[in-house]
Amino acid sequence: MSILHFAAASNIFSKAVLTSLVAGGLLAGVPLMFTALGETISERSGVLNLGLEGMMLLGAYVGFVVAYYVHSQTLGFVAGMAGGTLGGVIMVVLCVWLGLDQIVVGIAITLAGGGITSVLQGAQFGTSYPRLAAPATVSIPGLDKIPVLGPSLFNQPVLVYIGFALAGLLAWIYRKTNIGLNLRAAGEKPEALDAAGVSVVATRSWAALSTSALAGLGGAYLSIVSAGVFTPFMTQGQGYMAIVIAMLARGKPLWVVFGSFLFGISLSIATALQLAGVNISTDIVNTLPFVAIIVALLIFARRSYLPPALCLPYMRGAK
Amino acid sequence: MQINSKRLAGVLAAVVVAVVVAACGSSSKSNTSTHSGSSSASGGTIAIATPAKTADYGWNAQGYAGAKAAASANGMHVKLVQNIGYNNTDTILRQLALAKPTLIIAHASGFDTSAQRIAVQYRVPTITYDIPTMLHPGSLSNITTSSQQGAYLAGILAAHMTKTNKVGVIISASDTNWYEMTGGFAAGAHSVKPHLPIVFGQIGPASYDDSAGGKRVAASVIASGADVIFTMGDNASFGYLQAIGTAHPGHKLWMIGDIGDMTPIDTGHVFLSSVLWNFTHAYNQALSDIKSHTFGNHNYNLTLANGGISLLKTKYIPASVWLKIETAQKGIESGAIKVPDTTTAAKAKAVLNGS
Repeated sequence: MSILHFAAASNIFSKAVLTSLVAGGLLAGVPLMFTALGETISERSGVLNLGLEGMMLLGAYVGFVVAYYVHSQTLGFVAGMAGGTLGGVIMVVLCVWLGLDQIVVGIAITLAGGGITSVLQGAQFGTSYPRLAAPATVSIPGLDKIPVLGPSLFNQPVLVYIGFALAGLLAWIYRKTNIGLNLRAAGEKPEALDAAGVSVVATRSWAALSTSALAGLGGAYLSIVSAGVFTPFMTQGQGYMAIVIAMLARGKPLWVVFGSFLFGISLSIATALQLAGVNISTDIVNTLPFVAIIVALLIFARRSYLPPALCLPYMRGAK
Repeated sequence: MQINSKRLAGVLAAVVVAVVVAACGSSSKSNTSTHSGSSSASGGTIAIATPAKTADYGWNAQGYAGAKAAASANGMHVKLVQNIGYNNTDTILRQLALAKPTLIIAHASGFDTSAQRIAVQYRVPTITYDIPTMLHPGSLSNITTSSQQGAYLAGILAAHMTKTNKVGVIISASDTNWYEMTGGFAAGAHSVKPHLPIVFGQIGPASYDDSAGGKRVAASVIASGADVIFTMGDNASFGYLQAIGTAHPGHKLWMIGDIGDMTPIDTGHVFLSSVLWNFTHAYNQALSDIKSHTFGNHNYNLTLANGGISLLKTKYIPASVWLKIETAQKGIESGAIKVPDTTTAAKAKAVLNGS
């Protein structure tokens, strides 16, 4: 039986399946988008945040706990940001204020985030594994009637729309405002920023805290919406993937959105190929999202740009 | 010598964080506990190391439950080291071996290489998984499963319960056991309805714990029209359960799980059954072989016939359907029904497609 015959017989091209695949891509892409958008902020300012994975887990756990006990997903998202920020505070104190190695501290935060949340989950929900109700969604009148795309893209939790708006806002801030200029100066020539009377430490601190809050939000979205449950180590390397996407996107928010959803949609295409019964190895099908990212790397990496002062601590007067 | 106070403070802070991290890591990664099998337990110790927590309603829970039952039956203690992951296996198994327990259960096929080396070196009877030739007299034996037999029964159940006339299979990883059960399930379903479409989805190459991925793939399988879904996955199973329990496709959905019983957390009333793996008999047999000095001369296999594999009976399964399942079970046990053993993705897909 040919692929097309099988696909037709298995109803794979039905509206319901296509809608679910597009929605699935969005579901997988949103946590990445928030986290990678956050990473663009700290990278611009010269702080490489390898602790994103741990911050996502902290956000996922704290967000889930609050959403579960308070019965409010909105408060869950806010709590998730606070949870991620806990990791950010450690990053700020050790790396920005004390000038310790950003890579070592970032990895330590990732390990601690995974360990702490796993312990807490085991103590609190280890045998009950509570799950949340499906999230409330907001549909955009008119657009939500478009076949396939309407119900999948334009009938989403309000946080998704906020995420898209945030990407636009960050792009504007980076290009048009003094804040954007300061961030860039902190990452490219911190001495110049200092000489201009702007605190490099404060700039980098706020950048690192913003990053961790967005990573926490990404984690909270993962546990509250994408899974509806918290399980230990549920981020599955998405924090690292977010770093790659932020670097590939050269710190540009709109490219971050593109990269995140390229990954998410690739996951959905891999699922679609399996559902269609395509007769190639599932191992090959499952490499598709990663191949997509590597291809993007090959095409765009030559022009990738990292701030010269990335990973370098700044101490006034130090040589 | 001039000491930079900021540097000193930084180093001290890093040491504090490292200690905290190490503490968290050790407490999360190697929770150790001891359980007495019986009040008169004095006849030795069964040490079991699991890759994840034993509260997973699956592989780890069943392994620990089997160890406790075997210890109870033999008047022994259980020493549990759980959630050790795969990075520090050698050290932990070595520590267990140094304590000279009666039996070590290295409860993951991913532990096999380390477990084999340590078992032979320290001459402590050790059980590994999935490689039947991994034997060494007195120190090393292996457990395999004929889980496809249970999956065959699950396929029969699914074929009888489906109202949309389409069923699904989701696996979390490229795992030999998952492929075997996929083939067994398809063969069982096609024995009832030869042309029943079976949609297949896999989360990733090794996404055992990807609960969000489980929910995402399950949503797509549900959208394709499947109403009875056989799922395999460790922590990914919580995502399957969430997707199936919260979906509203306009018809009733059922989930069939694997290894453990998720009924206690099935708030959506969708958990139809599960292909249960029970290690108690194999562990008891191993202890008996240790006493008779025959341990390591042969491996152990979980089957329907020895109770290692079974299909969970729940209140949702009609009596008439259960009767057919029991009949099929007798057929498998007597050899009248041959269940295909599909150890690779290609073989499993061939059976899925009805070849």
